[in-house]
Amino acid sequence: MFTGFKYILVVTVFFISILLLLPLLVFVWDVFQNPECIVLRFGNASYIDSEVFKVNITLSYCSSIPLKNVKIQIGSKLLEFDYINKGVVYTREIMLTMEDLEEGVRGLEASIGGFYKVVLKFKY
Amino acid sequence: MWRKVIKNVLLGVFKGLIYYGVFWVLIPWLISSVLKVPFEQPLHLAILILGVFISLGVVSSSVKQFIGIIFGVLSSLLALYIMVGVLGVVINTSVRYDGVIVEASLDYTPLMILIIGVTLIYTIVECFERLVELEE
Repeated sequence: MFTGFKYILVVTVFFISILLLLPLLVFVWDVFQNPECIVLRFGNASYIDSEVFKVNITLSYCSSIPLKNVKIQIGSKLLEFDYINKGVVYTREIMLTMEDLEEGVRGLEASIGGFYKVVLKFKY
Repeated sequence: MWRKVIKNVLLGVFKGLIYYGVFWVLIPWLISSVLKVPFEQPLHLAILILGVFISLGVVSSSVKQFIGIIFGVLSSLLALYIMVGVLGVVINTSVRYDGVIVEASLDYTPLMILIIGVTLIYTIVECFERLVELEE
């Protein structure tokens, strides 16, 4: 009576699992192929005063799986992007102190395809 | 009589091996190979889990069907415990890249919810199946 249902359940789960795993597989593959997948560039720095300066940060990304709710910690400042996609260069203007710059990028938080939350912490 | 007992024991061992293979070998292997993170558990724990799965399987298929349902459900609960308690929903790893130590953690809750949900549905369906068999 339930045998058919059980087979349908197993097959459905198999396909849903593949669909759920696919973004993760593609992301991991892209990152392993290109470890410098997320590139941050600092440019056009202009001093506000002796301690604080304004800087343009550009972000580019290599994977075909978009990242959602991207948060990048630079020193004590937090840089946020709602979405980042492959091939698009994102620019943000941010105020940084010398201390922030010396500390550099401390961490990155994002959601792979909106499904899997990934947190990276960098220790220099 | 003996043939029936041996058949039930073999069926139970098979069930136990299936549970062990799926929840202790296949799913962790799949997760660790996708995320490139090793799944390392002590050998004695693996033997214990295998023993418990086989025991529950043998008891489930050897005792009266109504009581067997309970042991079948216990196998599923153990499988769920392995999923949540041993594997967890967050994988942590640490790698050194270009002189920088990168601590990475990945939350794969959606995948785990799917596996847990399906295990529960499968268990409930199996219970109904056996209850229907009992009534017939």
